[in-house]
Amino acid sequence: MMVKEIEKNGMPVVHMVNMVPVSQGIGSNRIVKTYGISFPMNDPNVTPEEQKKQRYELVGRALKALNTSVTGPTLIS
Amino acid sequence: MKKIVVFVNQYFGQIGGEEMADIVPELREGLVGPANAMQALLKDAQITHTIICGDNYMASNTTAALDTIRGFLEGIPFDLLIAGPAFNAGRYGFSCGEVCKLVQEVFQRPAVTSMCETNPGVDLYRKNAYVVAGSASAAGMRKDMPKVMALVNKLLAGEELLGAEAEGYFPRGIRKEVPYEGGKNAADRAVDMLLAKLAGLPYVSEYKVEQEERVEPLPPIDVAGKRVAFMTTSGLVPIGNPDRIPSGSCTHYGKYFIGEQDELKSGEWISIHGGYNVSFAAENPMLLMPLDALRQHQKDGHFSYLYPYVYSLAGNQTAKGDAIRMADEILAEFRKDGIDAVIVGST
Amino acid sequence: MKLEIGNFSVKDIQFGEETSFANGVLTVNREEAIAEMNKEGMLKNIALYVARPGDSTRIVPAKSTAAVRYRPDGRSAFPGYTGSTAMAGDGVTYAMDGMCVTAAGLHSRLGMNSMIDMSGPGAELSPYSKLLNLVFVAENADPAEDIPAMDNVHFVKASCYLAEYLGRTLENQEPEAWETYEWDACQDNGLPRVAFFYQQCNIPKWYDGTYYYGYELNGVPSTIVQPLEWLDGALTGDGGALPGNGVRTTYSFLTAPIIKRLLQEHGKTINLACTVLVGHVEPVDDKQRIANAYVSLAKTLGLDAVIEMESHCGNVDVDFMMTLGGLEREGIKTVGIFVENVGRDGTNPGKTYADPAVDALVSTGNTCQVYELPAMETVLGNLDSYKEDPYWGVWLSDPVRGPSLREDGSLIVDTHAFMEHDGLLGTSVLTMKDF
Repeated sequence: MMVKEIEKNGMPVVHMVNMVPVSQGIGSNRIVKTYGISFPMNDPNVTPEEQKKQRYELVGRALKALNTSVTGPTLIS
Repeated sequence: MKKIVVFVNQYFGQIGGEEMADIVPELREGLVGPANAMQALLKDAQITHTIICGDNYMASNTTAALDTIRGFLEGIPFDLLIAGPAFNAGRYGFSCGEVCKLVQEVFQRPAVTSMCETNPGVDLYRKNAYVVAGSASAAGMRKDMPKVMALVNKLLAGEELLGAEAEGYFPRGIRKEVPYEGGKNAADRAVDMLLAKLAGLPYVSEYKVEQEERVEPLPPIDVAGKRVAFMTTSGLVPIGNPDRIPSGSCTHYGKYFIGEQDELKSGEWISIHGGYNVSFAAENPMLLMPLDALRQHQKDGHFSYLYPYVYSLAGNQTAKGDAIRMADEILAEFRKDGIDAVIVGST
Repeated sequence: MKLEIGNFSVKDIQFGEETSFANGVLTVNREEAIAEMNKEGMLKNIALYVARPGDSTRIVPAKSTAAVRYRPDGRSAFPGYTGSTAMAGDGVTYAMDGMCVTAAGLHSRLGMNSMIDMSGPGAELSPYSKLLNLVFVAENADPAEDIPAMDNVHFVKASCYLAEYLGRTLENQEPEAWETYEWDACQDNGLPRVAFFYQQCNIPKWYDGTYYYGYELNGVPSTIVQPLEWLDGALTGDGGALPGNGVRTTYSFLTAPIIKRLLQEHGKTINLACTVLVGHVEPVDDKQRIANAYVSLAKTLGLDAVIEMESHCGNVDVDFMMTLGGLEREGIKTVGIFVENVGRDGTNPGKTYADPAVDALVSTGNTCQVYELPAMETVLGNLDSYKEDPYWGVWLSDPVRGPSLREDGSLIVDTHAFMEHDGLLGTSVLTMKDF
């Protein structure tokens, strides 16, 4: 709901979240799927080097989502 | 003669203003503050006691406050409790709501309060009490009181209620079948509704689908050379949780300086979110805010500036009204700093 | 096309030497009536009774109802079902107003049976308490047919045979009052084209539901039915597909208020293009396929609007909402008629699934509302079957409410237990309110 309120007021926003259907149901327009509910930004089971890469890639996806044209709640992969 | 207990905060309890918001609950015999106006409108009932509690005390020590109040109530015979009115005051709405919920759940007796529609307490407590729709400020006290007391009198008399809309309180999440006024049958209701719809005239649906509002997507933005902010609803806080962000139903958020840092160190941050396993985040807070990745993207020229604070709350059962208010406040801060785009991290 | 219904007002029903109708009184020769209604020999131990509005009488398990009809031109009242197939929906028919034929039994084997209380609080919860009921209580002749699938099938047919038999007393008589309905297809007068979508509970391989000229419609996704056919005996039922609170019977089809009202509006405010008996399927993907098919059908019919009646509550909510939502998104306006299930304490969402595009709904009540009912002096049927047989809305034990059937014959049940409580074809005068 905060994501929607931000967008409603004219500020571009992307939602990084794991429960994508819920986010779509509520209506966040730009959605990037995270790794898990308890570990959003990377998989904690891989090496620290790999985790760092995952975080970088995921943030990259979020930035790309901001620059993606959408018509409604959309998961950007 | 039925017996009533009234609950008010430090201000309406005539103890003081904000400076007295930390007072512990106290039990007074007789009428204090709005209880006087209430008594004047009561039928065959007597307000015997007034309970007063500081808004801040209730917010920060909810369990202790409710325990004390419960103790008070256990010692008094009473048939119904009236709390507030809380108008648009969020913390007072929370206090009234919690006390009403206690009375209905633990004592199984009706509890009535009043709040303005935009008070976040409405959505939080309308299912746990009779929350009468009220004015936004105490200026509306004289207008609101008769509505509240009419409902109280009906409840005391055991009279059948006519429904939330008719009685003036917010729907409590209960629906019942009742005769349609005037006995109009479903065929006529359906056809009349259709004719109105076809003619572009207003009609009232007998069932409202709870609709999530859709927001028109903004055009895409290339943030290269632009200013970006990151906020989180994961409950990320500095160790010790200095702002006492609650684990859920947040009505406030934290703002934490990250300056020019390029990582969040384990041991300096935790999560207080009550809705997931926070041990992962304790080990690596960058699971919640990927600060190293953000810095690297900044260095790589993908955006030019990262807002030097992270806003954080636990997005766990946030009341809609609160979510909107907090988002507006945070957005105002972002705008002051010329932010062009926001990344929201959730769980 | 024009259907003229000549009405005869029935003031009382009695048993006598000769089955006849005179001065508002229907006299019934028991033996002859039983022989006629059981001409196929599918029932046994048939007993006939009269239940009058206001009587301290409880009819349970009630299985079906029929209305008395007679065609002066000699055509069967229920062509294709009780007699040879012929077109319905045109010409002159006679009707007995103020009474119904009610089929009752001794057992309920599939939970789809319910009750009619002729007085007390229960009388407000079923439309049949307002009518004179000629009731027959019977059993299946063949015990091998005492199974869920055959619990009601023969009772429906027998009630139609009985209704047709009684209708013959109207031969050569002059109706007291006339209802006239005119309908023609393809009207080109600029009025909005509207159809009524009647949702059946007709999942493939389910129990018998609605019969169209005697043809059972399980698994048939859509059947277009000319509106006047409803009022002239083309539709009969219900073979057991529907819970008693939601049942639509031969009587309901012949007298459906929604059909009559739409016909009254036809040519004045709307063009009633047709009615469609739509269906219900189970797998979620199929629901979307079928909903899509209905939207396509609506466009093919050139519809501007649809009124759709939902069959019952449950996963069928998805079929219903997908269809209406799909129609709205194609610019076809909709009104839905449904009943809610908010649970016995009233706190569940009334529908399991909802589409925000669906914004015009009539709600006829709560299928789970709990009522306490006094004992009745007379029970037609077998109230003890509440202790042994499955019934929706009836329970054997409950920590707070106790058993539904109490020692003294009084009851605590929910609205599933009342015959046609939902009143979705328009008879309901109930609605839902927030509390």
